[in-house]
Amino acid sequence: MDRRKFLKNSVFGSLALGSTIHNYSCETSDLKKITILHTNDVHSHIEPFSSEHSEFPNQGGFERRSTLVNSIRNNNPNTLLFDAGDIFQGTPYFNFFNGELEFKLMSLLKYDAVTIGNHDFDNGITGLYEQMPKASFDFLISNYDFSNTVLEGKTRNYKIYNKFGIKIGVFGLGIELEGLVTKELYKETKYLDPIEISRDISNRLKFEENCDLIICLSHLGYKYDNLPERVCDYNLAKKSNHIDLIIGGHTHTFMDKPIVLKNEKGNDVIINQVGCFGLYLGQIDFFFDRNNKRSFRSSVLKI
Amino acid sequence: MRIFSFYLLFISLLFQGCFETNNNSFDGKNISINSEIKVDSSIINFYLPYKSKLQDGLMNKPISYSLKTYKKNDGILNSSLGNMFADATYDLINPIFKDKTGNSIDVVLLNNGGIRSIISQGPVSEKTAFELMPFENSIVIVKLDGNSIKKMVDYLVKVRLPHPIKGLEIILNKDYSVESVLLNNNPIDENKNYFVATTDYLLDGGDKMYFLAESKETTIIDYKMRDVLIDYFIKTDTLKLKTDNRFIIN
Repeated sequence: MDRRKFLKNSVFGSLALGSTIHNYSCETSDLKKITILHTNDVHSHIEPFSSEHSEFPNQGGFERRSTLVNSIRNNNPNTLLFDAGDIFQGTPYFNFFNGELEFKLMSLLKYDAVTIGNHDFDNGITGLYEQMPKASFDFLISNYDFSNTVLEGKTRNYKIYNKFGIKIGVFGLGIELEGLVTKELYKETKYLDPIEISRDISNRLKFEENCDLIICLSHLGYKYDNLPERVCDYNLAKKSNHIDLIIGGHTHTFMDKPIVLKNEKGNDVIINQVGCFGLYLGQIDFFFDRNNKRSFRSSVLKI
Repeated sequence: MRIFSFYLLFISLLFQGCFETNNNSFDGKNISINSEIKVDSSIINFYLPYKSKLQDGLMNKPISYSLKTYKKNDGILNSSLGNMFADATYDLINPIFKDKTGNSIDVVLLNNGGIRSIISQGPVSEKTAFELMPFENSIVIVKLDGNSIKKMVDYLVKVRLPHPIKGLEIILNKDYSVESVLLNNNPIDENKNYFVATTDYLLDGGDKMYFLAESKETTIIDYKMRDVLIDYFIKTDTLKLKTDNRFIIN
């Protein structure tokens, strides 16, 4: 279809119907859409909350998350699914089965990658190691040094996912374990400065790996009002240079929608976090033109 | 002409969109997972054998009844649920400690972050206790001198969280300076030793309560925090919890 005719048809057609216009780009209709789905702090909530629960009756549960994820994937096969840590601990399922069921269900839902939260050490570093064979997804964490522990070589600093010709670089950041997790549980794991590490990794993803989109899975927590200088997603975003999206966790922050901050260079960084217990699924759609450049979507044309 | 200007309006709208910074090109939303979404029965079938093994029937058997819904942050510096954690620990552990050592617990200190759920109005079961306290932490009693207790008070005043406490009464002024501190109705005596019930997690440096490691003598009580809750529920017919004056701002 020639461009002018296409615009005329779509725009005036929609105006005539009095409806809004979706899914058409300014340039062409062939924008590539990448969908990022995410959860955090699910804390072993396998089933939905019971109908008698005072706060979240009938909410959450893997059986509904599965339906939702599948329908979004059917709509757009170029979808990735991530979790930002604290998969373990919160219901008897963890006390009795040690995280096996969590990892198996997440594998059934085809999670692509997760980062590690402080509670994922609750059965010790060995407890996490023992469950890893049940997971078909990647464990991404770049600021824990696992040398001299059983997890050495079991996690990756980052991974690049190729969807629709778009290179998506994903890395993970974990929170400082001292004072949060008993040393006996995390053993010789060394915590490295997440801000410094994230600069190294994102530079590498941008300039050496030529990624088109850079995503950080973070269990640092969104923001600490009493301790404004503490490392958190908010401060990470402001001090970052190439991260496009921070998928957060730890603070159980329920965001209505993703927030956008400016990084060091004045470019946008998105932060999103979906509270806890699998009550919500975060969805972020990115659009790329035929040169794999982030592109504006026509949602501004909603009239 | 009218059609032409309409067309111009449209074109201008179009370009306004196209020339906007390309960096904010995303759509984002957080989707509530609720009963409007159909269930994937293959997932339920997958976890059903695990569910049966949990002996769900037994776990869901009511062992108490809660008059209202209680939360760990329904007060500013003390909460209904936190007070119950501290009081239940005292009620159940003090007789055991007395039997073992001849001494009594002076103070209970637990952590707000260790309370992982709420108590809903209605029946309370073992499952409630698992959700409130999923961790395998056990109770320990540490012997602290008055100096270490003062560090505990400084910590509580600094972090300003409704951590579960018992035995202390801390009143702050509006500017968060300390108005008064009493330990079982008396001032803290720096030359005296006090027995503090807490968990092994906190003694090991959890929540940075490092003053607990100044313990002169530690008594291990082989009683999990979760079992304290379960046994407290069993002996309490109806839960009526409330906030009080143990830690307040004037």
